[in-house]
This record gives sequence, structure tokens and C-alpha cells, in this order.
Amino acid sequence: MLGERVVGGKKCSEVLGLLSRYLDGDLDADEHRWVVTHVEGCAACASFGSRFAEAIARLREEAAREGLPEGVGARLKARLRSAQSG
Amino acid sequence: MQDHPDAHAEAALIAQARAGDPGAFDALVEAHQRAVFRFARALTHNDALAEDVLQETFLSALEGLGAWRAESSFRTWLLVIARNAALKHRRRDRERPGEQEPDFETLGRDAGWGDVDSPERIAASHEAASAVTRALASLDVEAREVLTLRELEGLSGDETARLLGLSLAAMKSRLHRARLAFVAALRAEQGHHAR
Repeated sequence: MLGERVVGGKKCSEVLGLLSRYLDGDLDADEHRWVVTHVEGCAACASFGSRFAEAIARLREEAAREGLPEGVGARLKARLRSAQSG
Repeated sequence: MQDHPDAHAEAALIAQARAGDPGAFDALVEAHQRAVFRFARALTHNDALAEDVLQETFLSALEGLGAWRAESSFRTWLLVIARNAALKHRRRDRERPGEQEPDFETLGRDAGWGDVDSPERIAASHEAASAVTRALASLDVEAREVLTLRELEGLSGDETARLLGLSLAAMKSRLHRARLAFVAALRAEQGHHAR
């Protein structure tokens, strides 16, 4: 990253590597503190971290909306009926 | 991902289906068909093949219902069957044989990490929803697979690692790469539509 900084004793690249585990609540207390301290003092990582979290949230929301393509459920049911009766 | 019955109700449905109640099996199909199809599509990248995998999965489940054990969720059991069926169908992933995986920083730069001049937001719109779908579809099969299991189906880290045959640490690393690749792909989609 251009202009990579050390904030809170951690480099931007180190914080980048921890982002997923931060999002999943999977960091130990020290790692969590490094990320929070770094992001409080690094606007670039704060901005990227929030866009990263937002994109993943969008992916989860989209999944909840998605249905089966037309006809797929009916054809599955017909195939199962045929197997059950045969 | 919240469209399946609770574990207690599901265990009752499975017991009824094992006893030969077709209505109970229908209810299980109804609860899980979307998840199985989504996962099959993530693996095959093809709706027709995904439909074949969906049908094979539930036919296998119908035949092998007695093999299900309560230590894994019914959905996870179905997803394992679907994965095995999809592996038979799908062309082996030879997209980039021997190529080294990019590191987090390379993936991050593609995703806009360090790009302070483009604080773009993700628009809440129908177009943004399509962009999410296209971005996911543009990823390689390993990324689609791990994102589908974790983000779309809501499997735990342990369940996902077991299903993929990976250590937990390897699954987490793959998930992080996949998320960064997804953010990069979504950014590219949105850049494309902004022009």
C-alpha cells in the first residue's frame, strides 16, 4: 500500500490480514486492540474496513433474497415422486 | 439462510420421513432446496448442472436417510452430498494450474485497500443486488464455495472447514482471500456501472 503507516504498533498490511477475523469476532484480546487502535488512527484502513464489512453484509443480504429459478422446485418434486413410487 | 426449521422440529421430520411419510420428506426438501441449489451453482457455475446436482442430492438423501446422524446438521449433510455430486460433474478447476495464490496485500489493493481517493459506498438498489450476484459469480470456484458456505448458508467455521476437508486455519485464510476477491469484484462491477 502506498504510504503504508505504522499506527498503534501495527502496519496497515498486518491489520489487513486480520480484517476477516475481526469481522467474525475471532481475534484474541491483543489482536483486537491492535486493530481498533490502528483503525482509530488510520483513515485509509478505517475507510477500507468499513467498505469491506459493508460488502460482506450485502452478500449475506442478497443470499436471503435469492429464490430458486422457475420450474426447478417443481421438477425436483416430480423426480422425487417418481423415485418414491418406483 | 434462516429458512430451515429448528433442530428439534427437523429431527421429528427426519424421523417421519424415515418411517416413509412422503409429506415429511417434502417439508425437508422445501426447507433446504434453495441452499442446496445455491451451493451447487457456486460449485458448477451452471444452472442446468446445479439442477442435476440438486436432484441427485435429494435422491441420494431419500435413499440414504438412515445414514444421517445427528452430530452434523441435516443441511450440512445435504451440502456434503451435493459437493460430492458436483465434483463428479464439474470440470476440474484448471483455470490457473500451478499459479501461486496472491497475497492479502495484492488482493487488498484490487479491493481498494489504501485507495483514499475513492470512498465509494455500495448503493442500496436493485442494481447493487445484481452487482453482488455478478461479483460472486466472477470468482474462482474455491472462493465461491467458501463464501457460499460461510456467508450465504451461515455454516460455522468448524463446519465449513470439515466440509471442505481443510484445517480451520486454512479455511480462515481461504475465506479471507475470497472476501477480498469478492470486494474487488464488487468494486469492479460498480466501477463498470458508474461509467
